[in-house]
Amino acid sequence: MFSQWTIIGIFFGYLAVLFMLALWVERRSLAGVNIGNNPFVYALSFAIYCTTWTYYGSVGKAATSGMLFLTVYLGPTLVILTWWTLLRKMIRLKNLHRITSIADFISARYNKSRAVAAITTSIALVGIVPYVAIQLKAVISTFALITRPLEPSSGFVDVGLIIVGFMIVFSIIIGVRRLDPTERHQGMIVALVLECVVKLVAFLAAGIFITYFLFDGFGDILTRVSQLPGNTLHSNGEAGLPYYMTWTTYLILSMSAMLFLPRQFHIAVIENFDENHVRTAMWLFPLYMFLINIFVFPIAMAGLLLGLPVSAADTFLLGIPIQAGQKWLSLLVFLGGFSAAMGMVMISSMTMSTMITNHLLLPVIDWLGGLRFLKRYLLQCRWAVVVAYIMTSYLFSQLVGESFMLVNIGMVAFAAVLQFAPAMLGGLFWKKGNRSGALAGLSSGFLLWFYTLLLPTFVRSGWFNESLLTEGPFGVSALRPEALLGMSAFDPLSHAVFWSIFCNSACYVLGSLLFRQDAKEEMIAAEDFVDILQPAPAPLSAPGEAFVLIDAKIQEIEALLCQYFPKKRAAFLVRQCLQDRGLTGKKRISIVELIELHGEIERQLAGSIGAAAAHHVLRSGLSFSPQEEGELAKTYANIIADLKLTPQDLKNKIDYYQERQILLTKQASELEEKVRELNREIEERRQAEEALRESEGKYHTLVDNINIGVYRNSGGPGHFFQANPAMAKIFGYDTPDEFMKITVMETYQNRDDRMTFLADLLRTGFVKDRELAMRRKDGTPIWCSVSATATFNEQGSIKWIDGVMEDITDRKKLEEQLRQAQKMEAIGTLAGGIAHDFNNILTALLGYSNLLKLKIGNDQVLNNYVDQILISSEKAANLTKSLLAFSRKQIINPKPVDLNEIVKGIEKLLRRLIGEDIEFRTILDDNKLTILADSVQIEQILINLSTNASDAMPHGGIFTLQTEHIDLRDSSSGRSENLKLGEYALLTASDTGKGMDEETRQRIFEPFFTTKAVGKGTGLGLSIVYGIVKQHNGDVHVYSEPGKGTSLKIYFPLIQSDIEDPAQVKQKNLLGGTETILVAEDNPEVRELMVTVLKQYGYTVIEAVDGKDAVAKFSVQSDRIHLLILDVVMPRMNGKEAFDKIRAIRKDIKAIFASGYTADIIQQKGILEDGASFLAKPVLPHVLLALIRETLDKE
Amino acid sequence: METLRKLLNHPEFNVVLFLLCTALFGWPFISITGPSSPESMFVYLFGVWGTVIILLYCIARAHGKKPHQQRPESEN
Repeated sequence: MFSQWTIIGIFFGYLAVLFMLALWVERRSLAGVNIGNNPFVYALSFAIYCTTWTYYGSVGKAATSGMLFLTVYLGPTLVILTWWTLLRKMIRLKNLHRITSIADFISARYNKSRAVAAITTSIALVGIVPYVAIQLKAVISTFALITRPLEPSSGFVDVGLIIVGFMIVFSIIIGVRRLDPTERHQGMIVALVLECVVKLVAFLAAGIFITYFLFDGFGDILTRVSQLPGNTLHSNGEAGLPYYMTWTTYLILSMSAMLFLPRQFHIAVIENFDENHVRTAMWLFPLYMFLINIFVFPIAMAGLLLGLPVSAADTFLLGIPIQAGQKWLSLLVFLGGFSAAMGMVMISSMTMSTMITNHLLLPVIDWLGGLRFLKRYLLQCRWAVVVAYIMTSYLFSQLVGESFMLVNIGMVAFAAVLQFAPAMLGGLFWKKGNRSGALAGLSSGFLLWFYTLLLPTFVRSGWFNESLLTEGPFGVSALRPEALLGMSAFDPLSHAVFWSIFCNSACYVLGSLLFRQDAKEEMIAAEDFVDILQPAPAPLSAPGEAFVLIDAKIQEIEALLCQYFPKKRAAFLVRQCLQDRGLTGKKRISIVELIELHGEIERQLAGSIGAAAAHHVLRSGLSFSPQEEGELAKTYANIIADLKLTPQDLKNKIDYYQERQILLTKQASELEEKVRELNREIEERRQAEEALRESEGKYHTLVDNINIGVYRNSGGPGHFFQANPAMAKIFGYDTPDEFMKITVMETYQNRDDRMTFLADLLRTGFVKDRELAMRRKDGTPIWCSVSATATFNEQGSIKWIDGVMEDITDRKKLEEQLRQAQKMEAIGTLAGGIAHDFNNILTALLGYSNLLKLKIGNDQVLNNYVDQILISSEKAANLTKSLLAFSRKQIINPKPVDLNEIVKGIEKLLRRLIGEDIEFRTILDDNKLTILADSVQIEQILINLSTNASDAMPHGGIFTLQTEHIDLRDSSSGRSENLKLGEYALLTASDTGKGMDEETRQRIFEPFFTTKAVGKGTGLGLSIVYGIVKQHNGDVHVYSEPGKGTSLKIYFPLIQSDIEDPAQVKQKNLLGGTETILVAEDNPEVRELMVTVLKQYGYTVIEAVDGKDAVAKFSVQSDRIHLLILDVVMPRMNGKEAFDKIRAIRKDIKAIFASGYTADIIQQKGILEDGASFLAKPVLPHVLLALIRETLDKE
Repeated sequence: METLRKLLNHPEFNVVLFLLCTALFGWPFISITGPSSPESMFVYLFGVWGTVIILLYCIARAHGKKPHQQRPESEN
């Protein structure tokens, strides 16, 4: 399927990835980031338990023994239930004694016995070598399987050695690259975790493929299996007691393996950073095992269903994908198996190298004086051990050959480490267990394991005579290895487990009871091991006289350490110990301090060579002078003598102080717990504060960006505590900080407003939408709408005020403008009403004065009197007209007029408008400036301009009206685009007022735009000017600068028509007639005047006093009447109603409506019909006669 | 909930659970389904196993609520 070199290349690549990962993790750890210090990493590293033996062998076991394979995983699950007590205890002991391996751990319990450590290491070595061997065998076998179709056996190179070489190099560079006092290897562990993930993914992938792609799921496989004739599983599974015995044995072995396999111990105890990580491992590792086993049984059954031989069941996992032609899946499965083997070999070899070096090699070196130089090369020794260990395993795998299936060798190893159980568990929970018992138990258990389990393996491999199993040694059948004392009810494995653990336990207990343990061992047993989870008493310290020269002692210690470390490293360790014990800088120390220093050195050394070896080295390598020994004895003697106690009292005292210390320690622990709780509370508070900060951030973002002012201030004159940027902007300040320097009172225009505001707050607690007159920084008055809520203190006075404020100055201005507009409208209506009545009076006055003037003839005196009456009446009429113009109620009636005359005509009115403070000048062109315009509208323009000029010069100035002729016929004359080529009359209105800026200039013609104070203008003045000018086909330009006055230039097109002479009009209209006219007028004076004038000029007149009378008289004489003159407003029936009724009688009747109201009002009221004539009051005779003639002559 | 947490926190509960699981995973309980029916055993064992894992998760959570006294070992 793949070539050998492809697979080797993949090996190399995979290992390179693992190496890079490990290297990266270690570099990160040097930078202070401990990636290995993670509960999930810790939990997943336990998956090293799942080796190739379980990866491939479980399937094989399932194929031959059904669910028996599962015991290998159920056992660990059971052990995990005890972890919270057991594993934590072991972790704490590891931390206390700087334990580096399981051998170190057991020996530490038994007074750091080198013998115990050595025998433990030996058992592990002998037991685990076959286990490692089978890993190598599995990898090599599957390598052959995956490369078989491409590589015939003839050309097969010994890839086993290549693979072993890879594993050796990788184990050394990742696991044993340097000496670490903590014996932790973060890089190696993270690489291991990656391997564990790979093997899980590979197994699940294969399981899913086989179960769901080759078959139709679990149900399908199980159904087919049950239908197989002569079901292998059923026949193998049909068993009674032996089956359950095997089941139980497997459970026990796998439980012990989880605890006592050196690599599991290393992962669980030595590599632990924090015992809290155990909590995660308690559920995550069983879950891992659950997942990796869920497909084991289906795969095994699938292999059988596919017809694969049972003897090849161990390779079903790889064989089935290969058979199915799944090249890449097969590669993944193979990599998973390689990961399983690699992880196991790497950790095992690293662990065993530590144990072998510390507990076997070092004692031998000490024993053989010639090899002491090797102490300086501990690291290199470990490398050599790794090489030797893996090579031995490889050779073993070659020697054992195919004698057993994978799972059997695994169980042999499990049974070996089971021998640690009595010494270890007894040491943890039984205070009386001692070194003698441990030695006896371990030795007996190891021997029996070898004799009952390993020896038969060798026999079956052909190394010994088969008769040893069948007849027993020397023919003694009671000594048959697999039926000791004739016990043949058990299967060989159960038999071996029973005898080995039985003897081991018995010897341990008996040995412990028979041989007395020394005081130190007793102390370690009681305080360190059995009661490790109890609070420990604090160490006693009793420094005496400082007489020991420390330099000499340092030299002695360094010389000792130099046997194991380079000189620099040794010196560093000593310095560190001195610093830890607080002895740095001292020249002399007490004997007690020396003892404590030795203890620290021993702890440091134990990290590298194990606790047992370190203890031995210190005890044998460091000496006490006679003076020191004497002083030590004297110190203790003095203590006892000072106490002046009997031995019993002393014991009681010690017990009392120990209890007291325990109590104090307990209190300290409780205190520590309190501190933890406090820290938790601090953390919670920190998180709450963070949430608060976040919330405040949101609040600030909102408040700072809103256009409404938000503030908090105090009562009374008030100071601002808080204000947002919008608040500062409302009052013309750049920043809230600047704004908050002023008092609240300073923002008010009126002090009383503040008092009222506070009083309302005190009374109701809140104020809503209060409009207040405030002022900006520069004194500019503004209007603000304020809503506020008060917070009161216990005395009931205002503590602070929270409020929002909105600048409503623009709104107020608009409201005022609206009011102004409404006011002007009302004035206009009022003016119109006054004009109506006033015009009636003027009609009579002017009419009769004119008639009188005609009757008088040439009497100069009387003529003069009448002229004065007429002049005054004309003035009164003009005033009425001005009022109408002011209220903009005149209809546009363009006629050729002289602009100069208009200016002259209104000059007096304008003078009154602008006031006496302002000098009014007119500069008029010498020539006539004839324009087609409604003089009333032009007057309106002049009034508006004058009003504006007056407002612009509150303290006086000069207002000039100038007219002139402008020739813009030349295209280069600089005219604006709004003006056509031609001649124009230019009206310039200039003032010396405050002027305006460019922004204001751009907007002055906008309706309701005004710069005047509220109540002083409508903002419509210039808009009307603009509209009128445009209506007259002219244009208006504004020139202004702040402080330099304003000049408006208005252009009107000049025309050539002659201006109608009023005298000619008078003459022309004096023509009378002979027709009959019905005059309906409720005002007797006006009616009489009209009747008099009409009769005088030849007309026949029929009078009517109101509309109803007019209808009645018309109905009688309808054929005679040629024209109706109807007052619009009359009692009983108005002019319009009367006209309608008369038209019902005769449709072609002509009519003139007379009214004091202006024409537009008449039109608005729907009174004036199209085609009807309108006679505005006061009625002038010549106007009346002209209009009558015009109406009668009209077709 | 608090009562359950306290129960899971008791060291004795772990002992009881250990004994119970040892029984459930061993004889005579496994003989109920019997080795002659691997299919039934498969369902039984994985069912119990899954339940135990869930219980372990709950125990781990319960222990997490009550911090113990030992601090993690400081790095040298």
